Amino acid sequence: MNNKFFTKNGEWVVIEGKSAICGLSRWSVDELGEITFVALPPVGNLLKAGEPALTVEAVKAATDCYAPVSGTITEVNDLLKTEPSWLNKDPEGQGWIFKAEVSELIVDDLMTEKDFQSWIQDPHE
Amino acid sequence: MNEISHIPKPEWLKITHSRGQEHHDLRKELRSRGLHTVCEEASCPNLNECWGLKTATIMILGEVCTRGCRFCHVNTGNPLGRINPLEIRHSSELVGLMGLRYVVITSVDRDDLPDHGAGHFAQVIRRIHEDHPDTKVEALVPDFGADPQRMDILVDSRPFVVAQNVETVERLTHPVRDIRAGYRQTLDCLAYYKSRGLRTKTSLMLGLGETEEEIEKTLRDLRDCGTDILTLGQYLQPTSRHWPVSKYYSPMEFAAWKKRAKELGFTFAASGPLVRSSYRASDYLDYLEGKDNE
Repeated sequence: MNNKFFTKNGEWVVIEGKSAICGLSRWSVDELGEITFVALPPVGNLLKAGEPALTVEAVKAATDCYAPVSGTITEVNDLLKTEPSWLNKDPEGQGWIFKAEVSELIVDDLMTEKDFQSWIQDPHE
Repeated sequence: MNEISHIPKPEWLKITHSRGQEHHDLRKELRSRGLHTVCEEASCPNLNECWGLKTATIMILGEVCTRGCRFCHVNTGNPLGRINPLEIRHSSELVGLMGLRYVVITSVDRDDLPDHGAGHFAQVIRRIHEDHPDTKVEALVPDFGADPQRMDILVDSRPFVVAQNVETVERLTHPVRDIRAGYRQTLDCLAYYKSRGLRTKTSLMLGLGETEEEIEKTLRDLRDCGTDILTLGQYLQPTSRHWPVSKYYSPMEFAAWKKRAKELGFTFAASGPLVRSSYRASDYLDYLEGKDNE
């Protein structure tokens, strides 16, 4: 998919027009281990690209998840409220975290899936 | 289905999962030789800090433990008496590759072996001593069934420090640790190593359900058998199937316990939420070289 991008923190975003769907990459959730809780933000929350959007807790640590784009949250994945393990099982599919209406998109700050996979392998490049 | 309830993790347990670039080349080197550190295997949040200080922890005697402790993430099983003799050379190579000035060698429990792995452990230490005479080796060992003959095999390899972890207070030892482990057994091991002239070290996890009085008693018991070095860290449940966390101690509480440990006579203590038994193990070396343990 060529409208899918990644951040250097490991979040992913799929952009369609003014809409975005965001989550954590497979690489990120594997680094974190078993996810136990996702502190989902309320619908209507404003996002600023690169700023923390929500907190994800794993058994051994908690981490901030950063907004890949600026905008407003329009929907959160309620499935994660009862079964946060979806983030481990299918982080880039059914384990999506939130949807947003994009107000600003700076593509230069994002990586394509191919670039992200190479960057994970060798962050010097 | 109802929303799940949970105790929120405190701010001081927040980590960043962004890609560390500092040790990328080294990781590649290790991978290409099939070498592994506990630091990487356990996704330790302190990895960059320790590696930056030229300290790392290598796990030997395989990846399958014969014991099943309820706090530990290592797989339990029967390794059927198998040992990989290449671990001896590889461990020494890793010390050279990483330029380590202080290395912790640890292992799974190997009750399936007649010597519980003591001989292999000693061979790894000797090889590192031969190849890297300036590198200090800390042996974080299993209890070897508290058998003096097995412990002597380890003693004869003269590690710089020998560590045996008490893990928790006496009341919680069973159910938390495997039935073959024991609070008194660990104290006996520490006393034995001390009697053989080695520096001794242990680690206690907080947050398993212990009381303040029990922590105090444990520290006193450890000092009674002459333990020199203590690490205190927050217990973190490795998966939801493991023993639950009863409390997150604050950095201030850890600082207070460190102070108490020094009052009780531990030569050196490391205490903090993310402190692990091998965390910044080389700080002890700095201490011996004249830098204070404040």
